[in-house]
Amino acid sequence: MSEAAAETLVLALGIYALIGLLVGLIYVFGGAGRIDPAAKGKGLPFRVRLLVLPGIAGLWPLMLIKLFTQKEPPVS
Amino acid sequence: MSHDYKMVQWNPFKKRFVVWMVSGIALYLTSFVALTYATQPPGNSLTPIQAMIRATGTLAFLMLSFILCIGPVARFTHRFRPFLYNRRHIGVATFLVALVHGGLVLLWYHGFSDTNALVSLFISNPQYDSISGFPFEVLGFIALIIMFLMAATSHDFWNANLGPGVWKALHMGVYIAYGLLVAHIALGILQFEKRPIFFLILGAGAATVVALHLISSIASLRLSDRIGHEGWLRVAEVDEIEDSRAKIIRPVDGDAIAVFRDGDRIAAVSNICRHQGGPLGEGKVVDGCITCPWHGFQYRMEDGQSPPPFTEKIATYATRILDGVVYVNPKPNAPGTPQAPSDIGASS
Repeated sequence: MSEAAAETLVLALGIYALIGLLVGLIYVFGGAGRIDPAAKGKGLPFRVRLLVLPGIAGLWPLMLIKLFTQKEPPVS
Repeated sequence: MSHDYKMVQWNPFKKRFVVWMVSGIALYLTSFVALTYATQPPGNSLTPIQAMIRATGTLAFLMLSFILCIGPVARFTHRFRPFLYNRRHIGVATFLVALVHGGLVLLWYHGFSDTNALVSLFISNPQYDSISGFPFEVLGFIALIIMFLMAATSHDFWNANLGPGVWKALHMGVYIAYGLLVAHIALGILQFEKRPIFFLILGAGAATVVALHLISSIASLRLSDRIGHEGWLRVAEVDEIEDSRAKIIRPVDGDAIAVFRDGDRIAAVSNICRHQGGPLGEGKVVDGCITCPWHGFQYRMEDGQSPPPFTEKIATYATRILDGVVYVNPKPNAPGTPQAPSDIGASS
């Protein structure tokens, strides 16, 4: 792998993670309750929101799709 | 089954388990570093960080091997169930150990140049077209990403928000991560470290995982090869089913079925828990409810429904007893359908 290709890859990973962090913050502090009734308000305590944030940052494309397409509440 | 999410569903056993696990990790790391120094060949001078890189790397591999052995072994002995119940904790701990390993590698081997450490990781060995010389660091990096995704999605929140199918598919990635780690070790430290301990760790770990999965698969195939009775599948003689426990039947077509005995009652339900796809047949009957061995989700024997106020439902199956032998109809009823258990007393 050339240095330029490696730099591009690392930059892409960084951008992906940054977008993931932003989407994650929006999701855990707003969107989660929209698709998961159990995650509304005190149902999802602050510490748990922080706990699930890295996962949302890692899977943000999937979570965005869920946020905009899921109509029925998920399995609880 | 909880209506709100908790950080961890602690109980006294789980707390003791985590204390033992963390103590074991600390003991392994200190022993490994001490033994590395004590057995170092003349002329070698590993730094403490290098020794810790090896200690965390071998520990993460051994822990992941152990995790992969838990399922198959728990099918044969109840004594392994405590590990099954706490597999999630071991998985997260394994990721953290692997993360320390990766962090130390980046710091020690790639952190002291002007080039970005991650860029350096990808370009320090350019032999991408070689098999024996392939940059093993990249394999470890990909495995670490997979382990991160699994650890980060281990909370109940994820099962509910991804759905059991997607969640389970994501966590089957552990096998990809394990394969990458085997290659990472084989193409990495085994290429330049001649002491047998690393070869032993890799060989014993991988061979045990493969052997246990093969044995478990063969046992499952035998279970599916049953002589039917008018299309019904033979489960076992009544006395062969331990009280409060189940026999698992795997039809050639369809999902596995768990056939439970609770006193004189015999009932069959889907073997797959609605929570995280746990193997219900490896659980037991508690207060008349089938209880998942993974996280304690419960279902009534007579209709496969979680007791109120919970609403989960699993498929039920018809059972019957002929001449002391339990049979199950492999055609599932819709989840939550009442199905009267067979009565052992009535059939004798």
